[in-house]
Amino acid sequence: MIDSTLFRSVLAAEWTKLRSVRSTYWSILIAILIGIGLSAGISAGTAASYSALSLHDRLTFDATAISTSGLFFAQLALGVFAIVTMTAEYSTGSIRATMTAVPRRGYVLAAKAVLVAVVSLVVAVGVSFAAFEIGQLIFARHNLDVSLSDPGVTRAVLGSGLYIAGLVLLALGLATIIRHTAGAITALVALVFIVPVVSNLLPDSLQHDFSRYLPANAGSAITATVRVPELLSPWAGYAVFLGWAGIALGLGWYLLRTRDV
Amino acid sequence: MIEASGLTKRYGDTLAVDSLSFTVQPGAVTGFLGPNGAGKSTTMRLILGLDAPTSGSVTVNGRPYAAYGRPLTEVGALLEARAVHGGRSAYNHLLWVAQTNDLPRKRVAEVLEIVGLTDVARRRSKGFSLGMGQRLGIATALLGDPKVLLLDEPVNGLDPEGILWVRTVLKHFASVGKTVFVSSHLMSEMALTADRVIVIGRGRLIADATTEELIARSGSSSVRVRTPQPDVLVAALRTHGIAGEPGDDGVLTVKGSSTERVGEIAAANQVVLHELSLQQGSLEAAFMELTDEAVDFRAADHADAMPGWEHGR
Repeated sequence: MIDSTLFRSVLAAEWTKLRSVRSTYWSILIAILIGIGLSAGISAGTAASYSALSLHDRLTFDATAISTSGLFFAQLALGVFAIVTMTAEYSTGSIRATMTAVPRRGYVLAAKAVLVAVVSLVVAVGVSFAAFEIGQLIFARHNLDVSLSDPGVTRAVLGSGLYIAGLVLLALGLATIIRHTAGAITALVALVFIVPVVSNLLPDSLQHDFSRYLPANAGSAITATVRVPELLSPWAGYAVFLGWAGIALGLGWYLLRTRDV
Repeated sequence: MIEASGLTKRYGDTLAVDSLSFTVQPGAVTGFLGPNGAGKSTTMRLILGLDAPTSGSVTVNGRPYAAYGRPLTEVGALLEARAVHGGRSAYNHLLWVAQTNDLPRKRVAEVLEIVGLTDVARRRSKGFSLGMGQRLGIATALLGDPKVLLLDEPVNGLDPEGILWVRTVLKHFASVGKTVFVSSHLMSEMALTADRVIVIGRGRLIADATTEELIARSGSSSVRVRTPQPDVLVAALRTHGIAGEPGDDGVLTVKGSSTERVGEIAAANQVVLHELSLQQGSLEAAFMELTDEAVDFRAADHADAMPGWEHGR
């Protein structure tokens, strides 16, 4: 039975926790700087070298995805933000105060999940639109720019924010399972940055059935306007991605309820 | 009221709490004593549902702690280990705790005032001294004005003034009918504060009694007798199977007897007495005696577990 007034209380408490430590502000600031700065740099670099691109690369040129590509790195700052909301409780011992105040532990995880997802979504969508606009200004000088009214563009720009909202849920799930900051960050980096690279070494047949279901590959489909055959369709991919986050959160929820703190 | 029944907690090969049963009654300060590693903190964690018991159960006012959605008006707890994020101010720490249980925001300012942290409330708690951290922990425990107060080593790190203050708070809470359960390794502190004492050693219950009973029950209280005829009295006591130990200036220390009995024996043997008084033992001495036995048990258990290991005693 869900006690919605208890959930609101825990949500208010978790919001107080979030806004009362410096790491929250640092993570968000870094995400904004990397997200916008790196996107602009990559856009400028790609635009400058466009004439040197192969025909294939020109045909698959995705002005939207490139203009928001810095978010691929900004995701790490927001992933760490989500991880720390849980692991700092263990490293400082405040988890004991939390679980003493809220013996129904699942509510704590649910409140943290809602907050990190909403905060990250707002930040990432803002960064994504800002990076998109800056990128199109750069591309406009080479007549490569697209507009939000072009097919799939608004979905892809919003999609970068949605992708990061899903990613922070995956990160929070890993943090709840692992309970150590460094361990959880390592797991997240491995899952998002390393596993996709390793899977590229698999035989093509396996790649088709396996690689596109990996979290980062499935989730990133929603950020692109040019359909890549190796990837799932945007929304199907996003659904798979949320499934991964759901598995991590579900396992974390089970362990949180059963383990000693 | 706290009721533990057959409470057992095993961590791997270590039996931290071993079928512990006890009741902590309201309206009194109950001390929880035991040497380091006796299982006091583990028991506290089991009461608060932080750890799940391997077997047995414990309830607070009739319900397991985890059954309370908002437990802080029922139970306030101070844990021995630090439970505060150092990057957060004392005010914000208390605020989020209050919010979880829908406690009014003004209660935060009240408890800060009670524990004397108002002036530093906006400072990050990582800069706090041990004593200030302890006060913040006590403020957290008091936040919901709970019916049951559970404090693990509350006077740790406090200055004499702070210790006196904690003692007053505990006694006040008990006097208004609340349940107060407080662990300590400072026996002298418990002798001054606790009405009842639960003593554990190696996770097992050793004693559950009033503080007076515990002191009286242990052989540490004695009768002091001063007489010009110590040799006569020692001989007379010996015929009744009582040992008297002669000291300086004709002072005898008599153990395992009472002032009445010693006086009667002296009168029957026409021994002149200059002084006859009861020497109260200390809780400290009683505790040492009790836990010494627990240590002896351990040595014996160990010997039994090793074939060919002869008992040296």
